[in-house]
Amino acid sequence: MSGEGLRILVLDDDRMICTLLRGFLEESGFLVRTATGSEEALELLDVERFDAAIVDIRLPGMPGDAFVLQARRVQPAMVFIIHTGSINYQVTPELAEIGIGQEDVIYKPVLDMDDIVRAILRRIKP
Amino acid sequence: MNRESDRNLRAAETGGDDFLYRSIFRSMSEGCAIYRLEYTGRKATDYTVIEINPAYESIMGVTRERAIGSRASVLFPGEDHRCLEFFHRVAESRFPVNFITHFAAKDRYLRISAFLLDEEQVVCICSDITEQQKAEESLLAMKRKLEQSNEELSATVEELEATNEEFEAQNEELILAHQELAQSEAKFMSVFRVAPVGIGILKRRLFDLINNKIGEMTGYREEELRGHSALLLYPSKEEFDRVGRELYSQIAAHGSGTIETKWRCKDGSIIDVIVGASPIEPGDDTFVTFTILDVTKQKRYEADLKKGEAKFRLMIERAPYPMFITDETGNIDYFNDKFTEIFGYNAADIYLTDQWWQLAYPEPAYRAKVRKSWSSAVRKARAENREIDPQEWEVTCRDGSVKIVEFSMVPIGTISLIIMNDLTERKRTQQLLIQNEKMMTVGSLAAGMAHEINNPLGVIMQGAQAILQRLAVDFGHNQEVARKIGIDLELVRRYMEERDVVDYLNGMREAGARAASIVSNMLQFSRRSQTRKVAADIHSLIDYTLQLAASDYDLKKHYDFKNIRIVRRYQPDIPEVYCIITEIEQVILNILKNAAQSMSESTDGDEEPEIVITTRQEDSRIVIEIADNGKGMDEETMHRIFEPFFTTKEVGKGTGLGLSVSYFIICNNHNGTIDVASEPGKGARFTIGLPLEGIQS
Repeated sequence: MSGEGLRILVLDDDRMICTLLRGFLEESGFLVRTATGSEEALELLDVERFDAAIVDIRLPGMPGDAFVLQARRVQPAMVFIIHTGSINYQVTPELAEIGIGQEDVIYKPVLDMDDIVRAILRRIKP
Repeated sequence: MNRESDRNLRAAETGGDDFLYRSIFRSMSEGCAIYRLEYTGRKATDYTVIEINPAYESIMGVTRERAIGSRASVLFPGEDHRCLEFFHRVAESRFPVNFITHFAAKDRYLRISAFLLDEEQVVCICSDITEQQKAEESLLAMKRKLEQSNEELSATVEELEATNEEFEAQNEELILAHQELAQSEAKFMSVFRVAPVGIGILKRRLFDLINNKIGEMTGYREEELRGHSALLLYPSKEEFDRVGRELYSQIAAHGSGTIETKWRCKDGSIIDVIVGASPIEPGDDTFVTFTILDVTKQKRYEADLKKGEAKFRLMIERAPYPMFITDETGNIDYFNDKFTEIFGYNAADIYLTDQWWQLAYPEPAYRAKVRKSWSSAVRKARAENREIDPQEWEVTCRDGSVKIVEFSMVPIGTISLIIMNDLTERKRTQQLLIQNEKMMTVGSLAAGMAHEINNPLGVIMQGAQAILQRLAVDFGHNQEVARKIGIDLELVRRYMEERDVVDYLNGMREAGARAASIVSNMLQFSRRSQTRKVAADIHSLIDYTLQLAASDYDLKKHYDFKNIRIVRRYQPDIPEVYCIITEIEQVILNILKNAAQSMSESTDGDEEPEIVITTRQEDSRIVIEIADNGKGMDEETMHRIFEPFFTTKEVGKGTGLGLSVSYFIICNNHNGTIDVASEPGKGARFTIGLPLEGIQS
């Protein structure tokens, strides 16, 4: 599976998750940036263009879903994958309004990180 | 005057002043007559009138012409002879006489003075003294009467005096007697007045005398009753007649009578009374003394007592607790219906206490333990006269089942009331509640933990995956990096495989996945279903779940579901149930999986594995029964089967959460019931009850 140079932002407060996803995605051909907080991630959005973001919901500071709403305003073309450890997480109406569905939610822990790649590519290349 | 007339008459006769004398003679107020006595022999037998004056004419009622020359016997026929006798005496003695005579012809009294004029002639002067005489006579008569009365009076007085003496003697006695009488009457009157019973006298059933008490009882004043018929106080003529009949016939037979009846008071209220009656004169029932006892309160009390007794008896009979009563010797005297209902024993089974002990506690050691504890508690209770501290024992019923029973005992005098409380159901409910609570605790813990656990699990699992990827010969930049540092990636990979490192890493991934699924399952306990309930046809739901089970990969691996005979006993036209379809499917699938596993492990090889699914409507709920003929389970397992993490499966085959989740789904999310009945070797039967009114959620 190839990332074909797509630019991915990984937002997760668990540094190890960031590292693991970055390693896997880079090996798969993506260009990856990581951030451990929403504020840091928004700063990155100001200086770089991204095709997609993998976003954790429970974060210190601004929660993941609030970040998604702001990011969409900064870079409207971006797609978002929710990657959460809260098993009973359901897509909020606000996120649903901007086109994010339950199929864009991937629950931690993932057995196969290819599931994440597939989810990103499904959105970018239908 | 007589002497003077005598002289005048003599002078007149001698021829003196004749005229003078004649005029005196004529004007005299007294009657004056000259008679000539007529003799027969020597005795004067008559007289002849010679001369009379006018006064004489008027007194005697004769005229001079007729009188002169006439004989007295002719002139005054029928007159008595007293005059003649007096005249005769005058003539013989020559002395004047005065006398009074009654002239019958004219009913006149005459005073007569007679004197002798010559040998043959008598002068008679008469005056009318009739008035005088009559007054005298009446005076005399009065005097005689008075004298007579006086005589009588004296006699009476004498008698009286005699009587008086007697009387005085008697009187003293009487005064004494009277004092006593007055005293006893006062006593009687006070009794009569203050007697707590009504007392009175009837004269032919009319009130003659009554005491205050009757007034108090009836509200009538004495004067309102006196002279009135007793009927006034009876509620009906019939009752009045009945009382009369009864009482007077009793009096006739025994001299007195008693009867119970009702009286109506002045205010209309009815009182119960006992009437006693007895005639004042034995044998004569004209006057009857009667007594009245107001027994209204007693009657009411008796009635209340009877009612109370019946009430208490009914209370014990209908009590929702089994009860029995033992007598002073400890034998069972009585037990209620509930006792038989709960334990099955009837009067024929336990007419002796010892039979109860034998039947209720068939195991001798246990029986001895119960008996010892019981008798010491009873002894203590009797000594302190209070109820025993409740004791809990396992009682064997007539049908062999065992019930957990709490015993209380209250000593009532020498008898004992023993009250039992069947705690079996409550204990079971309690267990279920504890179980539910346990799951809730697990659920809320899981919710808090899930996120925190899933992140590290992600790191572990993704880390393991990343390591495996980095060892892969054909992945990403692996070859490039290996070449750069001068190692053969192929050899590294082979080494890893030789040393089972690859298996370890895969094991880590799988273990992580399993941990993640446990966390996910646990979360169900805390999760209020967000999915709306919909009306579902329970039969198609079961059929769909059976299809799922038949194609289940796990099931196929261990025990092929297709080999199991499925028997459907569906009640036709069963109503739809409001439920979360996927959750109910999950529960049924869980039970089916358990059944399949149990049957695969059954040692009874002859029996064809079979699952019987029954549905029916019971009042306001739908019941689904899933029964297998697998190996069944013991009581311990049955009690714990819904507990989280309780499993009989070998490690790795199950999480021990399947039935807990099922329990949670049914009881919590659907407000229903889930239950299991089983015995080792006899299969298991799960019963799910779903309420029909679960529409509101």
